[in-house]
Amino acid sequence: MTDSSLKKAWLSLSPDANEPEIASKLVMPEILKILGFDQQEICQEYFTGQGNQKVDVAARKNTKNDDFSHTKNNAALIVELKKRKLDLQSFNNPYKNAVKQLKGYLHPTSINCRKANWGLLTNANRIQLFRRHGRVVYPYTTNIELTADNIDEKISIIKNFIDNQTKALLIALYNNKGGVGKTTTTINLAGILSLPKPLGFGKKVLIVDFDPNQKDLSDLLDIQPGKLSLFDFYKDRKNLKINDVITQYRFREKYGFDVIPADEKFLKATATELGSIAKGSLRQALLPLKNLYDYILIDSPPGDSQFTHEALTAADVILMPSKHNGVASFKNAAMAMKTIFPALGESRRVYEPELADPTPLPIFFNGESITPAAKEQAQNAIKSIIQQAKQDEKIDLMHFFFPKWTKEQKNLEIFEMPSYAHIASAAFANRPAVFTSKVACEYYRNLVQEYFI
Amino acid sequence: MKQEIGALLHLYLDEIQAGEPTEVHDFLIQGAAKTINETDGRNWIPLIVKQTGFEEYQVIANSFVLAVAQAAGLNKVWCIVADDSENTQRSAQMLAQEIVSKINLVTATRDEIKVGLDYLIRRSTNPLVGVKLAIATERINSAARETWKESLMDVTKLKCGITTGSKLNIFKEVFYVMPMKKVVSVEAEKPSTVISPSNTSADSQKKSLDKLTVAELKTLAKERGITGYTKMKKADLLGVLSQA
Repeated sequence: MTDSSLKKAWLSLSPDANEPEIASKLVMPEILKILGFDQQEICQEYFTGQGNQKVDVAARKNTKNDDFSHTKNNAALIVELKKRKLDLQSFNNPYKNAVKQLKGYLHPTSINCRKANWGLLTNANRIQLFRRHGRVVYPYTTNIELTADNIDEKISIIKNFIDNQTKALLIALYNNKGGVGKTTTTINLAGILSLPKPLGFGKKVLIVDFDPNQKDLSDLLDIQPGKLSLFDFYKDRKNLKINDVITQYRFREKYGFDVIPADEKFLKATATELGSIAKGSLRQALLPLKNLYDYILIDSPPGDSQFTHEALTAADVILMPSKHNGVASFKNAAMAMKTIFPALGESRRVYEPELADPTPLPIFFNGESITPAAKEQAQNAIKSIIQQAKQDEKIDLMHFFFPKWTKEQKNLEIFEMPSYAHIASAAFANRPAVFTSKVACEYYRNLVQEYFI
Repeated sequence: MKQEIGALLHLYLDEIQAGEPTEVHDFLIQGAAKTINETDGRNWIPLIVKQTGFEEYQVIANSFVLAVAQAAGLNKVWCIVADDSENTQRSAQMLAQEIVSKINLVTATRDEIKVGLDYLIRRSTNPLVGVKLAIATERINSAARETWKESLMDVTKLKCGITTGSKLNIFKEVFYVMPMKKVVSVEAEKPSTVISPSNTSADSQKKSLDKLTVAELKTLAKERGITGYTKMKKADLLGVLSQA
């Protein structure tokens, strides 16, 4: 069996290859070619649009009159290269800095990269694919170690992910503790995202109420079940249509979002019936919907149940509303990050190789008035949790709790959703507060602009 | 997604690959298929499968149930997802009565030989006729079983009623010996160890080599990297092999 030209190119690299060599021998002629870009669709030293910042390589498909190698704008994919000898193992500083750099290139201020959905980080020894959806930049693959024997397979996996990209970002709303405002956040997020501009963002949103126990969401919005219940859909998912499970929630017949309502049948099911639902069923069920929506929000129950796992398994990223007044909720969050998410990630990877774990977004304090003293107390508690996780389990929770933290500027800021009576009381009126309150709109717009758009 | 080991799942038939086809008579399959249709399409005895891919499974035991599900025109069948180890498969197949345990004659005790023979003599389908249990047990037990060949022709020489042909085949359903290649040393306690010529003395080694056929000796020679073995006669082969 002759080696592929990709493998030959990789083998031809010098052991201490630097970025230009990796670009010219491996990335441009081989990797990007496999990903479907030919030489006129690739640029080196691409201006990201933020000042004089440049990224090593960028690519985009050409259209009739638009030759990317000449126009050099609107890249679809960017590649950040590092020297081969740099240790890009996860959790080490060079890796963390490189990821930060890549995220910077995909930040909204990098005007010339606004259309880029994918970022590749590689030094020939390691490669990782990141996906960008609005403001969210998250790892799509694990931090893959490349060898001569596996390079064909790994690049093909990456190509497969890129070729099958879909529109939606799947967000699980999760917290081990109950009562933190997951459901309120879910419906108001969906509300503000789906409201037309300039009030909202004009996006197509689907909510999945996966908390059959509480059914808060479906009850709150007074959702009527669709033609088909989710439980019944699971009985014969190959021959039934998921679209029949979807109900529309419309406010004043004008705007709104779609809902897969909670299904009481899950509650009435026996343990055996529940146990007989194949793992990953929700993930599979949502697959055909990923090109119909911009956002799919999954409201998951608190705790560590089968339903929670199904919701997390289906998600790309995880949003964790929290309360500040208790170490327990931070410890729970840390625990989830250390054990639950990686375990589910492992399960997913058995048949979807190199797919990254579901990524947690930074926590935020939801609906509280926090005094400066209480805030400091919370920050100190969190600092010791981070310290302990670093020492004992070699896991870095810093950017989950303090996303703006840098060595130079030890920024301990955690995003806060202010407490606002109207948001909670809207529950009694069967509607998301954002549909009736301008202030609520402002608060949630702020949340969206911090995290998503 | 990887399913939990031990999960009882209702799987689509087209996601399941058959293992070994069942040999059960069509009468039994059709009969069972009828009853399934009477019980709401639910197979109360599950199929045992292992997961081989994303939505792919393979039968490891109880294939009868798969045949029945197909005959009954079912869309989905209830399965237990087991792990993919060989031990699990063997055990499940034995529990489903698809295979019987096997007895290695080289290490078998007298009791094991006796009970195995008894099973073959007294079973209703295709039993071993004309074999007296006491005599056969005695003769087999006293024989130098560790030198027996895979074909088990040696048992026919004992003249205990197990003759070549169908009776020998029945005998072989339960009894076997490890292939001779791995059993050249005379020590009966370690029959399955690989050849280590340095262990045995030249004499005893020569004795056991003597019992091999020319074909078997040539295979041994090939394994040991001896050249020119194809043209050698038995005496020559014995010579080079006992030197190695």
